[in-house]
Amino acid sequence: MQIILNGIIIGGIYALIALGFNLIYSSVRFYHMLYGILAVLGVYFLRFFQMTFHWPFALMVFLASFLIGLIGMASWQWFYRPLAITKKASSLVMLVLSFGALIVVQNLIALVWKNNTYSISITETIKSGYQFFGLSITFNQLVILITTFISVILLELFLGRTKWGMAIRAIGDNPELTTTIGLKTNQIILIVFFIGSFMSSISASLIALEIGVRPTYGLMLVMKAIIASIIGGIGSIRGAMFGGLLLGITENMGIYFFGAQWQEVTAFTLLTIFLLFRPQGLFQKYQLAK
Amino acid sequence: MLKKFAFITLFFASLVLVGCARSQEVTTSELPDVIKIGWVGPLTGGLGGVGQDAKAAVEFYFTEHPMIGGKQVEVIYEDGKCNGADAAAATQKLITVDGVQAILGGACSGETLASAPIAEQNKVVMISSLSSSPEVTTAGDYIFRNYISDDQVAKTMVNYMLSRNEKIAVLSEQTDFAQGFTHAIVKHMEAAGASDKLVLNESFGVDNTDFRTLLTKVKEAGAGALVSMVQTPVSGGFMARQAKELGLDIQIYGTDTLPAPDFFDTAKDAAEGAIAVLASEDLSRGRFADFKASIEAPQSTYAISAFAYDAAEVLARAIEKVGYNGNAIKDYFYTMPTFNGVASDVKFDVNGDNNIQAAVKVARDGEFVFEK
Repeated sequence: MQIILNGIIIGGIYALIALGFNLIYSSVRFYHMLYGILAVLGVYFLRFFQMTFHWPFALMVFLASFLIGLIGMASWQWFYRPLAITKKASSLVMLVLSFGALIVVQNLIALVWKNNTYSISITETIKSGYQFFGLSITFNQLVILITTFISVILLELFLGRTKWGMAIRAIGDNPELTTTIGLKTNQIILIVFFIGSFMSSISASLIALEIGVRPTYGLMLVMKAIIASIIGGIGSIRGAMFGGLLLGITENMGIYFFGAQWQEVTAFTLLTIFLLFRPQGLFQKYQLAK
Repeated sequence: MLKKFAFITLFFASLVLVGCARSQEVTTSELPDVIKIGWVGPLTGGLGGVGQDAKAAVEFYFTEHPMIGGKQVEVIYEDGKCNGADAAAATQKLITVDGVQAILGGACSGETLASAPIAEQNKVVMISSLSSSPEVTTAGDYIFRNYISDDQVAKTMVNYMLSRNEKIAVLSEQTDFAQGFTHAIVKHMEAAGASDKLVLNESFGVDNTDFRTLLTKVKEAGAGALVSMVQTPVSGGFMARQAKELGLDIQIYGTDTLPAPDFFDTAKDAAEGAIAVLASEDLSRGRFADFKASIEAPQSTYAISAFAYDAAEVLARAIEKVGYNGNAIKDYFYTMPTFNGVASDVKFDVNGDNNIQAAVKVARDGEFVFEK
């Protein structure tokens, strides 16, 4: 049972990181690989704040994430947009460009803050988790799960019920049409990048409390986000959540039954199974390939 | 005819003489104007702090003794990044570009093992003050270490654990060092006839920091002792922290990869009581107290600095004695008298190993101290 709970906790982490990724994918329709490293950059900002100022933890997370939100917006405005809109680059070109940008930022982080793993802590003491039925879960892990759950509900409501949310989805479906009916496409995409990046940094900060942070985590996080999204159905918010949870549980089952060296293998096996038998994912929203 | 014969004879004779002169030149103790010595170790990454400490100790030695036999010493520091590929490239560069005859390093076992064949091929001596993998013992004739072999540490650790705990679990990182150590533990458990007490032996990916499911397995196996065979202090810190979060009541054991500020920063109070079995500073040594008082406080432990300092001194003395030539230094090392170092006595055996004893330390209030 503890294994499944461990899976749910780490799955919650994957889900949280997949949410923002999926949101951005919904409106721009390419793999925003830079996403992963921006989330990690947020944690480095947080660590910088933590070492320089001694403000409340939540305030520092908010500030760092706000900065990342702005950087996310800038990445669209000055990096992606000129290529995707002006040059009409294909989504494959965008993927490669975005991946290149990820490597650049990753190396910049390593240059400034070294290639080490750092841990982030709120308190000076480590408490045992809450025990129930022989299971153990810590306060921080509960926060991760609750944040994931609330974010899913809020995003679903936002996308499904509000004008802005519908506009975001509309842009994803047909960017040219939305322009003709008078929606300010670019403004909406900027907002999407802000929300997505902001969320990514919050998630990464929560993750860092669990497993620390190092520059290479950017790629790891975005890969997990992609796998979780594909399993859940890319573009679907609740799909991202269930995809993340399923991925987390499967990985931990893999560790338990086959050994830790098989963790990645189990993840990619799950991905392969889904691509073969259910390429649209658990909750189909959009077609994977058009 | 006779004239021609005489000429040819003279010609060959001169060749032989030239040959003699050349071979004589190699064995003389004449030193180059600048003695360039190589250094390889991690200057960045998870063990960057340890590498920086070792580097600082070498710098300290050569600041105190800037000359060998009246010639200026220049140490060229290369970042091996604690991995074989980078260390091998660094070693290649030191030998072919800088033309060094001796290298201090590598620090991580992976660095030393990957660099060893290159050093062997070029007849360049390497002295590691930090690589503890048992495989370094057989890495080659030119490869020496004044540090302890994990084989010795593992033996001490196994005996210590068996005298206290019933069941033992090992979680090891997939690196040369951690795997080498784990093999040594298994070997000594078997030798002690206690293989059945090793209830769990699992490895995990490099730089992994999520150990929850592995720790759950440890819990289910009912182990009373957990050997945290990590490559970096941070990973060890996460393991201790998550064990406490999962409510495991278990004695954590580790070796020289635990004692560092990162371990305590990560594990916080979960670090308390963790045991490290390692080559330690020997407080009873006369030279150590002086050394500790004169060198700047290291990031990791004084032992790391002391062993690095000893390696530098042993090498400097050898160069002074036999000249700056890899072959000559190698021969000297195998026959040299016992050297009274800062960290330990240094006397290389036939494998280039220095036999020293491991000590047991325990984590108390943010540092590892000798058990009372």
